[in-house]
Amino acid sequence: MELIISIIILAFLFEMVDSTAGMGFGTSLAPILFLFGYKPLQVVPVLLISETITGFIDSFFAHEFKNVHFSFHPFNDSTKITLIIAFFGCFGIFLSIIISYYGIQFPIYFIKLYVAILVLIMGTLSLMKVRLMRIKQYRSQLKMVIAFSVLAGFNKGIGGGGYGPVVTLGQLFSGVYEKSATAIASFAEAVTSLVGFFTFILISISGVEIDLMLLPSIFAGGFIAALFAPYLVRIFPNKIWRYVIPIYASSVGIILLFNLF
Amino acid sequence: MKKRLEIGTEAKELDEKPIIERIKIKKYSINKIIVALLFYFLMLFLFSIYL
Repeated sequence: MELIISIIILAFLFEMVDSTAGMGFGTSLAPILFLFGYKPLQVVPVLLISETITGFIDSFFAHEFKNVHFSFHPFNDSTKITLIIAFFGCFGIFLSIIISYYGIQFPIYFIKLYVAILVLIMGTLSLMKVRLMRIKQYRSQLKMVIAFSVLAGFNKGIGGGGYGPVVTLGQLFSGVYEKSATAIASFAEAVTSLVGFFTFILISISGVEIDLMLLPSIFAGGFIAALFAPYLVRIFPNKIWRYVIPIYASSVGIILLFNLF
Repeated sequence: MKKRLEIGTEAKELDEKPIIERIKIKKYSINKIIVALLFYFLMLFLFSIYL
């Protein structure tokens, strides 16, 4: 086992942001690892395993620290929304892996451009909504959450990324309390990543070789961040996250755009 | 009429309390963090064997 200090630190930082803002781990870390010279089959399955573990840990402790309340007997609204978001995410990730495996080429530049612009617009609108409307009511709308889940799953399916940002910002648009929205996004991403990893296992059975060399380093940094981020979310007041999430999402959108040009 | 959901009620109630209250966590939560850390080191140990 090889532990790479720089990757441990990067995984810790991006998972900390992902767990507190509900987005950014895969979107930000994957391009950096590609820049380091790692290949997609060394990066993507490892990020999926790591996101599965950290997503479950993050959402478990978000529930523990009362940022969100998940109930399974019977299902409460938070759990139902999580399952709806996860369902469309699972469908999307399964589709994207199969499509890439069979070598079907989409105009990837335009897809990434579309996702970058979408995330930037949603981030900016969320910020404007906070500034202009001064939302006091947190009574979310089911249909709107479902619509954004479909959109996020579609993004994942066509391989453009941006699942976390669309899911989290979509919940904010629908009126979900910020602290709960990030926990729901983490839980849904954990389920989606698990399905993604199983799809990779299916593909590996037919001869595609998966390299898990990066897993110990990414796990070592990401796990600790996922463990303590929900506590930070609990301590800081929601009004901070109301600004941090859209500002961070807009930054992710801008970075995605810069990467394209 | 649009269907509306109840999400984040507990978080909102907690937010209305002072920061000192939000910093405090229950003893069983600390126990769960310790169990999670044990899982973390166990996983790293397994990685050292199998990877």
